[in-house]
Amino acid sequence: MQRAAFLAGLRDNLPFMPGTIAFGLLAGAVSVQSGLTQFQAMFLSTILFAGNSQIVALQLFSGGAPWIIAVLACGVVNLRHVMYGMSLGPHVREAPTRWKLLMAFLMVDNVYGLSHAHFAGDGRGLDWGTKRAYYFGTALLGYAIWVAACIAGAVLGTGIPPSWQLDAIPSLGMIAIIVPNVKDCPALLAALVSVVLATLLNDLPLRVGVLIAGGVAMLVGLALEQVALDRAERGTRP
Amino acid sequence: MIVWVMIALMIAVTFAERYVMLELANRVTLPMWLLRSLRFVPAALLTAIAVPNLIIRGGSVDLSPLNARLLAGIVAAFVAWRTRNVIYTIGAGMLTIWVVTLLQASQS
Repeated sequence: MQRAAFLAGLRDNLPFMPGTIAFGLLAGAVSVQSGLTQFQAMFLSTILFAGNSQIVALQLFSGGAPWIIAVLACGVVNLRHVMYGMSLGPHVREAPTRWKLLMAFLMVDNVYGLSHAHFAGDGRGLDWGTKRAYYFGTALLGYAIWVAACIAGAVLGTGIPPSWQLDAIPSLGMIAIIVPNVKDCPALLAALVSVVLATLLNDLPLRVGVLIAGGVAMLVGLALEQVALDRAERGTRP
Repeated sequence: MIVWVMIALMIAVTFAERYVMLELANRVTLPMWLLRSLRFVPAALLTAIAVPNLIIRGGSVDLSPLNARLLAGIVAAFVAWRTRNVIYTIGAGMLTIWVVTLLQASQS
């Protein structure tokens, strides 16, 4: 049963592997190009296991932003994992802490997406052991391939010609995360405010424009949502 | 040295974000304002990080149709909307960049 679940997880994750290889190569290479040593690049890629945030943070850092802005940007790009944890947590209530720590270490977009779909769908009501097998089935192969790709990327490093423009990949990958989350007017307005402000404020020192634009856009979205909620509440009152 | 501090903090922050609600989801309920704010993280904050990298070329805003990355971003947004697939989105975007760049190179 657990063996079958592990293999099912492994199989479900296979279609994501070409992307994992490309992203790993890029994460390793960008890290070296940003001035990290090969060892630092390999260490960061393999322990952080979050390519998008790594590339974004290091591009900021090598573009002149102080390290604290790079760390903040990394935290912001990875904030979605808080929501992943929130939605996965109830499905693994019985799991001991040491397993939750391991799950957290390997929690990436596709592992979360596949596992949540499985636990809430076909795998509803499975025992913890079987869920664990599925989760780590999706996670372990991906991690092994990620580590290999990052090491290869760090070795290739500056050998990848800039004319390939691979540094556009993180932005395109983030678009794939942003678009499904723009489901209503407040979110759309927040995204538009963010585009305009981030572009206008791009020349501010230390790349703080990113944080200001994102923060203001968030407040605008929240405010618009509040207005809609207030209106709905008034509408339902007799 | 400062690079190691940055590396350690990036790892610590990211791990905390991945772990905290996995452990606490069954014990605490987050306040409403925090839940509502989290919903806007992709639209507001990720947009602020991703979009300047596509609009700004060589230090200035480039909204012309010759900006391969801007076109790629528009194509990627469309593909993301239709397919909700990260790989297709990145693939379509990169293909756009390469094709537009090649066309421009062949014309000049």
